[in-house]
Amino acid sequence: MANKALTGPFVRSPHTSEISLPINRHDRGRFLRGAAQVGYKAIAYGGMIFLWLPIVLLVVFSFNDSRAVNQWQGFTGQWYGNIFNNIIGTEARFSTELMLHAVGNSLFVSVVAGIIATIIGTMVALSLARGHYPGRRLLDGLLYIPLVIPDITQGVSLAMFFMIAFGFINNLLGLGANYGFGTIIVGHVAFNISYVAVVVRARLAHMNPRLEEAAYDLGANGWQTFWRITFPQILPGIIAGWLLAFTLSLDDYVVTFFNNGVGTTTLSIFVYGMLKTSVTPEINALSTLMLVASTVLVVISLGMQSQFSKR
Amino acid sequence: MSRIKIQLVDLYKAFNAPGNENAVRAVDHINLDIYSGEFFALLGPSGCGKSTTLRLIAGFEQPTSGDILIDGQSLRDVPAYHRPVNTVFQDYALFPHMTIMNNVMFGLRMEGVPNKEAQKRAQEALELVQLPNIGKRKPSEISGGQQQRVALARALVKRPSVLLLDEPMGALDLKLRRQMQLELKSLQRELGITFIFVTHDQEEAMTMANRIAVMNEGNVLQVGRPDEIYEKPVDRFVAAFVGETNFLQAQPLANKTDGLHVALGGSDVVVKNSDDIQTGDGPITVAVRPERIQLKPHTSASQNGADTGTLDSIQLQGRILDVHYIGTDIRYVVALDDDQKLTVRSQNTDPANNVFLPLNTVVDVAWSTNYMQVLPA
Repeated sequence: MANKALTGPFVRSPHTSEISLPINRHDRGRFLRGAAQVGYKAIAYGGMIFLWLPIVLLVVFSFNDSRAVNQWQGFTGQWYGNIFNNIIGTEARFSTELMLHAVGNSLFVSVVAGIIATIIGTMVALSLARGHYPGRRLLDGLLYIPLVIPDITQGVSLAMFFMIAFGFINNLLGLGANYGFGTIIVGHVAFNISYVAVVVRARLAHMNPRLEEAAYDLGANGWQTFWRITFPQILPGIIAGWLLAFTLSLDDYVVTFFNNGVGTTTLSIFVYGMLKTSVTPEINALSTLMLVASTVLVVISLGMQSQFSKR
Repeated sequence: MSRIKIQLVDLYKAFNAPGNENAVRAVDHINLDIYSGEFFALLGPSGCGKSTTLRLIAGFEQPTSGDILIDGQSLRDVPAYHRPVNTVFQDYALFPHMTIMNNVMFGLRMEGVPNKEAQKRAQEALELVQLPNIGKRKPSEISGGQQQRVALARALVKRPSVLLLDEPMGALDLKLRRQMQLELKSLQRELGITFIFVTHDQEEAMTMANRIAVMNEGNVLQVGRPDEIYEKPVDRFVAAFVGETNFLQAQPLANKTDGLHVALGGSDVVVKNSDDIQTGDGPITVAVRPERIQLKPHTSASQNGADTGTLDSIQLQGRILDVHYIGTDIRYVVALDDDQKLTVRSQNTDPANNVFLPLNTVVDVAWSTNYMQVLPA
């Protein structure tokens, strides 16, 4: 009964008359599990905020009525208007013109490099998945290495390669080949092949090999079997591979920086150049537009993927 | 018998496992004649080479040596897509991105059959497998049993001279399986096409096939009608794989005029049909099916039979070790006097009067020597 003074936060267990915390073992477990859930939630939301806050700020400031990038001065749609007017040609601001030109270059490079890389990457994937030749395993391993080679290494090595190649070719054939779209595209294709091949291979690995045998069995030759059976089966992988190559190419800075030439300024090079002076709100507006465009692309590709996987 | 449709001539296929010097002999120099219009089963445990044999005939694998003839023509340089055979795959391998109709029409399109005729023939094939109304659906939208029928229609629409079936019932449940077995058999009879059927299920092979080739480790052990395989298995493997069998060890004692005397189950018994067995001094194996053995409680009267039985039957004494009630049968495990175990199935024909013999009952077991196989040990 001397324990009476200890009531309040403490209670006596009716069975043992020992003093215990007001929460029994069961409650304690529930409390800890609840705490863990709060922790998980905090980590997930914290991570998301960390990821998205800068992007949200970018979108917000693309509507900022000021040339200063870091101070909110009120709402405007002016920067989008500038871009729009430049595109339809009712107005021609030189700085916007330059920016849009860089966007055009970027799109050109990434579409072309994406297509070439997708064709080569798909063929590489098919060769590695279906071929039985010596060295296949080695090639398979080599395929993954470009995914982890630093961009800087790739950029420098490509620049050096082109320098040597141009020296050789120009001497031999008396040409004046130099850095330009060609070198940028070749550079992008070089690093994109691996990404495409890996994505397409994953799709091929999931394809039932009996399907091709069934096609042969029903009278289709190799060519017919590829186009009517294999290609439709791996098409989602090919599209995903192209999208990956396209986006990697679109925002590549390092490889492009080392291998571009006169008049081939891409958007990433252009924006980096602006940092020395100042980033205009138009860049924010443009980035927002690209964010929307890429989101739409991803949604479309996911939709197509699920459509295909249903089949 | 009718004429030979397919001939496997010294067919040999070795797979070189990577990093392994010894090639795996998947199909080890087999010779087989399969007749026109026959329902032929390749039966064996997994890894026995039955599927590889089928894939060699289909043209998905190339033989290491040997040849395959169809109607006397070698298939050696004929690619899979030019062979007059079609396959029903174990997992059906329907093209998932095509409708059922386009799946069935695929083979005809590859032949260059005009679209209208192809459609008509595909519809007929779907009617043949009793699925006339699912042409517009995708393979993922129909059941496993329906997929199996579609796979059958897709192969049959090409009017192959030989249809290859690679464990086509493997993915079906037991009831559907039984039903499809009967349907497939009547379909084969109706169409008169040669069916070559791969299965590891001996019951399925017995139910469906006109003739069975039992395979093990790349070899064909025995070819024959189901009853030949069951009644006269050539060796221990076939006897054990097809149905249930008791194998009893017997020690030869003497070869007398009335037959070979052996020590079996603690008695001296006469094995009559021992002509075709080479008996040295070593032990022999006697194989007898559990349903061929009569079992009775031992009475003093039966003692007079002097254990060895008559010339035509063998009578031994034992003790019941175990009883299993299976419904159709009651299965007894009997220990003979020399401690060899014998399984006996007695049909549960009269449950009202059927008395379970309790454990340790001393019983007489007897079987006719006609239903007994003498095998090398």
